Amino acid sequence: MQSIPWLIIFSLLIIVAAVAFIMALRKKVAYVMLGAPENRFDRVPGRIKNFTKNVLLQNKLLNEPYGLAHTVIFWGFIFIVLSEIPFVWNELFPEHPMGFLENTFGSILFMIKDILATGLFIALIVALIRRWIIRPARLYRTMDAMLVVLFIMGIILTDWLYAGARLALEPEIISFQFAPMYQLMGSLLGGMTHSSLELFGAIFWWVHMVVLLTFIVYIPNSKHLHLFAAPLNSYFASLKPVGGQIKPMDLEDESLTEYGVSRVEAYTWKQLLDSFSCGECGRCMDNCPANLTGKPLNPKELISRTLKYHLIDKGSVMKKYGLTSTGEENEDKLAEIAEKNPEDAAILNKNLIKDVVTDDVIWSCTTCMSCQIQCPVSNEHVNKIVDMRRYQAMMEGDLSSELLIALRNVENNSNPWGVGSSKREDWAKDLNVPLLRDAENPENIEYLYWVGCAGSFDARSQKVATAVVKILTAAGVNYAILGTEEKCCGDFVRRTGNEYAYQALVAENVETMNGYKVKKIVTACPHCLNTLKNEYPEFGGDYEVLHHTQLINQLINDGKLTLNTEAAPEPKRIAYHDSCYLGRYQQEFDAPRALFNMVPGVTLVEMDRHHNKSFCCGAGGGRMWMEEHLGERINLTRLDQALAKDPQAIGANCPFCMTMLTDGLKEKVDPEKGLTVIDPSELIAGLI
Amino acid sequence: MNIVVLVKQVFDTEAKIVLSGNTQINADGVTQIMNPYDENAVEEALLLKERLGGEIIVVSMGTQKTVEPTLRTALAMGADRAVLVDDPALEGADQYTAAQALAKAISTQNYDLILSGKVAIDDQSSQVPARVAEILGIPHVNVATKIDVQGDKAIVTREIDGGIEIIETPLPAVITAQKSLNDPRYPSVPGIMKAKKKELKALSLADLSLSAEDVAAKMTVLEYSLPPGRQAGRLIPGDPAQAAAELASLLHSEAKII
Repeated sequence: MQSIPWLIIFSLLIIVAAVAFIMALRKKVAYVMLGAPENRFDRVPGRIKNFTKNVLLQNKLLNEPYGLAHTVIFWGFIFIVLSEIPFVWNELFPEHPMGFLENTFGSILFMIKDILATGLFIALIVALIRRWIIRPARLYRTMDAMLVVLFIMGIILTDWLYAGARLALEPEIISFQFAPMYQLMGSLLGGMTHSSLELFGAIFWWVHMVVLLTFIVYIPNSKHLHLFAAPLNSYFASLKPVGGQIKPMDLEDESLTEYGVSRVEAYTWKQLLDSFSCGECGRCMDNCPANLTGKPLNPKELISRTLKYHLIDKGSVMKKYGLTSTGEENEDKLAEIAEKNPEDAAILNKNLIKDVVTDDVIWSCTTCMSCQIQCPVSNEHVNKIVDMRRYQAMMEGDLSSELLIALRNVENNSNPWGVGSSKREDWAKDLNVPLLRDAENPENIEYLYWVGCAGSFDARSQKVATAVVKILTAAGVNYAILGTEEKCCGDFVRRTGNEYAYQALVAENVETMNGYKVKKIVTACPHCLNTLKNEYPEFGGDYEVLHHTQLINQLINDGKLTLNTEAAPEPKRIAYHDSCYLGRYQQEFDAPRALFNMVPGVTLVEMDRHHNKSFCCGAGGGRMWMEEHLGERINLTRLDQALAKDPQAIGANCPFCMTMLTDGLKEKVDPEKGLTVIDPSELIAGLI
Repeated sequence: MNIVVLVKQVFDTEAKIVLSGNTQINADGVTQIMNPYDENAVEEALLLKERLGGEIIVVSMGTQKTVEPTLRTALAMGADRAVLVDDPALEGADQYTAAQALAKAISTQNYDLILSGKVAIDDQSSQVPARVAEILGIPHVNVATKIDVQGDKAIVTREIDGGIEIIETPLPAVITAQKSLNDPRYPSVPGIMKAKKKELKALSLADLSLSAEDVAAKMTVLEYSLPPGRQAGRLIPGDPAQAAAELASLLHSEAKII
């Protein structure tokens, strides 16, 4: 049908749209490329696997019921985009139709596409109802969000109307024969005259094209850049274990003059890409303990608003002056800009820390990792916060006074409590615990029991350590401890940004352990576990590391430890709390539960938030050593969640969780009720 | 404004004290730190330098092997260079020895103010800064909670029993720091890196034109002894009235506090 003038108009439309699209996209790409280099191009098979799982199969999205709507939208949209090719071609060049579709293959393809498009349309209505009528707090009601839905609805509707008109004109089109909505539209429009059908079809073809092209231009100018950025981001996602993703830092590198991040462009390109990938689904904020207890940290806001808007603002000014960095090396240029254009300079000189992201946001994070585990587009929130903390800790020494005390305690006595390091093995004095330094052949000792600072110095955790020792002895495990040779593992030191102090601790610990040829480690602290297992390898410490609950399960399953389950069961309802560093970080949910379930009389109950959605106790990421001034207290919130299950005890597996929940109990629950927090090993030790 | 800060390396507060014989304290394996009050003195020097410019020289005494970490910490916080009096003849030094040696070392420097902690947490003598002032013939103000330098004088607020005292002193003077004077900073990593390359000059007694006799200790330690170990608490069983009566009698007869 298309005459030459129409073809020219069409070509012009395409050119305008393409130019506008490319210009907007190039800008965003340029902003991302301001970021520091980072190699995310290795291990292609692993990346393809991730991409398949999280993009093609929509794995994480399907963890929640509304994820189904997204999956339908995702696949429906892909088919719609594909069907645009024959849609455009056949109308532009009706005398050379895409013949290969005029058969059963084509009709099946169009059937799938049409069914998916129908599903997509329904999913969009669901999405509208959810966002605008159900109004969950995690979805922002923005024009952006509304427009995206309307655009896609417009694309589908106009497609249906155009195809209906075509079918009414030529009912014999084979490729449309099984497409239900096309057929429905065709029969609805069947009564119209030939010429009005032609006009009708032409109008909706053109409307469709205009809507489609506008949408294409709109994408890179809106949060819907998600559509391109998210799949890329999933492909480039970190392939390291969840607990080993903190950015490595070479402190020997003398060219390094800036530690951590205080300029947005000092983040790596992948960290910047995160901001454009965010689809604002809000899963992170719905699971963030800081956000849920009224602290100013909202992971979604941080990634998709605060950092993104700042990057766009600063990036555009940087581009204007051809700057690739606002670091020291460009001091002169910045001074020149400040003289000529103070307004631009003000944007360039905005410090990421304090001017853009406040201290309270940076320090509210407990590094519980829930945001990252929930995030369907593989954003890496925690590293961004640790990077800012690194700058504050290492460049400015700008740390809260309570945290400074803990750090000095580690520096002087190798433990955050500040008890004399010479007292580290005192807890074990009367327990006959073997010491590695006393072993004749330390390399023959199978397990190093890494007691950790809590097990060594905290009265409550000492009881867990005592239970572990009793179990190891009863099972005949060939083990020893380091005693006074053990130093803080460095977990909280690293997560509060003190990489320098962390690496010093690691170097000492690795030297000690490698000196004894340690190969296997068991520990009762998930924080020690994580850094020993996932972070020490980077510094020459390669060990097989187990949580005590994992080893105890093995011992029982291997018949090395027999439990006396004959004793009269003491009925106990235990609400179980997954720690972040054993649960989300190691994906170990079963071992502690299995142990509790072996104890006669114990009934384990799940809290509403459990497994990957477990709620932090509030102590991770150095928060253990800091006052909690803002919002509700996280430990009390978690305690409430446990109390809602009316338990007689709370089950835990981490010394920090034990402290936080026990503190909560002291504050909230009458001691007469006898509610306690227990580690499964304590109950198991009671059965020996 | 050039400031000399006297710093001392001391045992960490949590250190386990072990005696070798009865006149020596064994330092093997003990974590040593900068005397906490001296950290306040270093911090105050840094704050004054930020306002008035000049140079900060940290001065200490001891063997380089043991004292260097403390001096490097001060340098990492921001002091410009360090001077250490290190001589075998200083073994067994007392406060007289320290003051003689340090005063001589300071007198080779160009200074407008001398700062130090109000007390070292190990021997708690509080003597050295005062003695140094005496030897140098300059004023000494201790337990400062605020130091306001105005030209060639300083207005110093100091803590006294039940109140504060405000003193004006000409400079140079020796002023010692109370904890509440400021919050010592945490050294930054670039600071630590730079500190590794800053000057640390070790001076022997000969370098200071002093002889071993000039600084010979006036005091001899006769004996060190450790405090008796803490005894476990005692629980008095029985009915409340009886137990209370027994408690009172024990407090009187055994503990002798009522």
